[in-house]
Amino acid sequence: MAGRKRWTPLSGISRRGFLRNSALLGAGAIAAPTLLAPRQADAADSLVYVSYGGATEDAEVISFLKPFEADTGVKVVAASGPDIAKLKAQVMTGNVEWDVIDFIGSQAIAADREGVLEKIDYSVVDGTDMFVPKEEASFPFYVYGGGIAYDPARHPDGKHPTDWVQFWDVKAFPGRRGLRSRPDENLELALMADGVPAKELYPLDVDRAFRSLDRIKPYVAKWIPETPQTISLLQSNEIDFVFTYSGRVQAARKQGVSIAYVYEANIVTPAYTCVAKGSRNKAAAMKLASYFAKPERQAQFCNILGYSPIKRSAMKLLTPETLAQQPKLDDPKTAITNITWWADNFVAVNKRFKEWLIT
Amino acid sequence: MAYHLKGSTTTPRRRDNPVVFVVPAALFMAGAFLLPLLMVLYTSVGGNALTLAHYAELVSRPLYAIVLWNTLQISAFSTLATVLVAYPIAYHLARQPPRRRALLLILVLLPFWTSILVKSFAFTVLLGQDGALNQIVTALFGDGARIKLLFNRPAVLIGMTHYLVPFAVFSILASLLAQDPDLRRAAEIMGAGRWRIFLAITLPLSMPGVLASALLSMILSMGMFVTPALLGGRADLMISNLVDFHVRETLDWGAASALAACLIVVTGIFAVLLSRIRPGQLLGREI
Repeated sequence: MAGRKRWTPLSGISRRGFLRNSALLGAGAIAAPTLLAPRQADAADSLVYVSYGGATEDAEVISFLKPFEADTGVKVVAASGPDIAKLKAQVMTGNVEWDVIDFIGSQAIAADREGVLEKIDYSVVDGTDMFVPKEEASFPFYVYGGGIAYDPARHPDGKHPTDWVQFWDVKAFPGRRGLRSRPDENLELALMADGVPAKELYPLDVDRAFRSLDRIKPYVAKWIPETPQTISLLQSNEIDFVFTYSGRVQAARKQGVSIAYVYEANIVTPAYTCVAKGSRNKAAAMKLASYFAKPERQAQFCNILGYSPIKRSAMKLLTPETLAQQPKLDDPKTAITNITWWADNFVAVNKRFKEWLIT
Repeated sequence: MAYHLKGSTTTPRRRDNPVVFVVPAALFMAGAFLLPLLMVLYTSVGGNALTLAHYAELVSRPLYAIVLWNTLQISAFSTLATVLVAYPIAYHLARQPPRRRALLLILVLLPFWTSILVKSFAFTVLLGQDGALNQIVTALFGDGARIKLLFNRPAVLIGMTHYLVPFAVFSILASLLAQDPDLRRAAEIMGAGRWRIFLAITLPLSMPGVLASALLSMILSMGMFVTPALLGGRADLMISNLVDFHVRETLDWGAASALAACLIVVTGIFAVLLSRIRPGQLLGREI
């Protein structure tokens, strides 16, 4: 919507002006090929960064992209919608538009296995001092937490579950449940509800997880496909207790929605910085990626969105408000998604999950 | 339409080969539809490997058969509901003077200007536990009368019918407007009542439009997945959901192509079956 063109009103055209404009138009037509292909023309001083849009993108522009531009003079264009399928199509056709990409969780591993990522140059990117280990073709830069949300007006303290054993306990905490319509995260929740400690989940006992899911199945009012629905269904009183993400809850509360979030018993998933295979400006792309590994950049980003940084040294740069509103990664009740396990098992487990869901 | 051309005063010259008029559209469709379709088929057999492994996968697991059956059921019921809702609208529109009809048609088109995602969210507000409909019901009949109209099959059918009705209205309206009003006048002169005229003339003559709208609704609904995902229960999974899943999440484009190929074949069978029905057969008599 940003690039809407303004046209001169037709009524105001004089003959001379028309001729002049025609000449301009002709010149424009000659220049058009260079205008239509700006990427080739100045590939050396511009990069494309692809992320999840919305508030996340805004915070990334402020915390990572702008400081990089200021330091290097290389312009970064932010785009939204990281999608391995799109990247694969770009790499297959040799027309790579993207340079640096943010992939969530096992997507980063899956993308690398598809051969669409460059190896990270750890002489440029500082891969030390991290809560979650780096990968060969990607490194984590923040984690987002998923946990229990509820409406405090309907369920004051003591009337809502605070961990997954309680979430599964429909007698002690009667109410309609909402879970996501995908296996990742759900299997972990099911195992924690069955008594598996958060730090000992992997490799997941899939059979046990499905037996546990069988118990909660009749009480799940909606298996939610789209993230915004996790909030809107709670808001419209379709659901009492829902699995959602802390960032979404914070955004909803800022808009005045009556919603609260349990910061204990969270499952956190890291988001990864990746460089596209065949990036037209690999050196600059790697340099941009290195900004995502800087503690002060991560801290600024997390202070805006309330997420947790990956660099241990970034923790002391967080504001007290941010610290109060995030899952503690070292807490024994906090589970951390093992993206390699999911990259290995996602396809098979997902088929089983979908079959389980429809029968 | 054919008899209209015959009756017109300017007879087309014999040398005007009809093929000429189809060439631009045919060329466009060859590039923008046929070629990609062939690519899909090529990918579904693993490219040059010419393997049927992806198709074997489709029959090896119950998932695909159940979802295909779901898709057919949901599509058939929403098509039926669509035609039943669209026919009276089209009938009413056909009886309006042209200016008024044009105005009313804009109302029919209004839903097209809203994104399907927004419409689905709007239905949550209408059909939910505390939704507008349930507030009316509970106000009239008390709290026990609350009806569950969200996250189940009826919700899917309501959402899909709402999306499909405008398409159906147009094709039914076209066939109603193409009818020669003299036929109805003749019947009236011969003493036929309004119902008799409708059942013996208007309805049979509009059957091609009804069939076309049914075919269109069926084909469109077989490819839908956003509405069933947002409004449906856990079992309301459509085949396109699985295509989307294979394309974007598992990157198994072979499996996605095989699924898409199956969907095309099933849809194609319906298209052929529906186009072979002669409108008269549906009403049990020749016209």
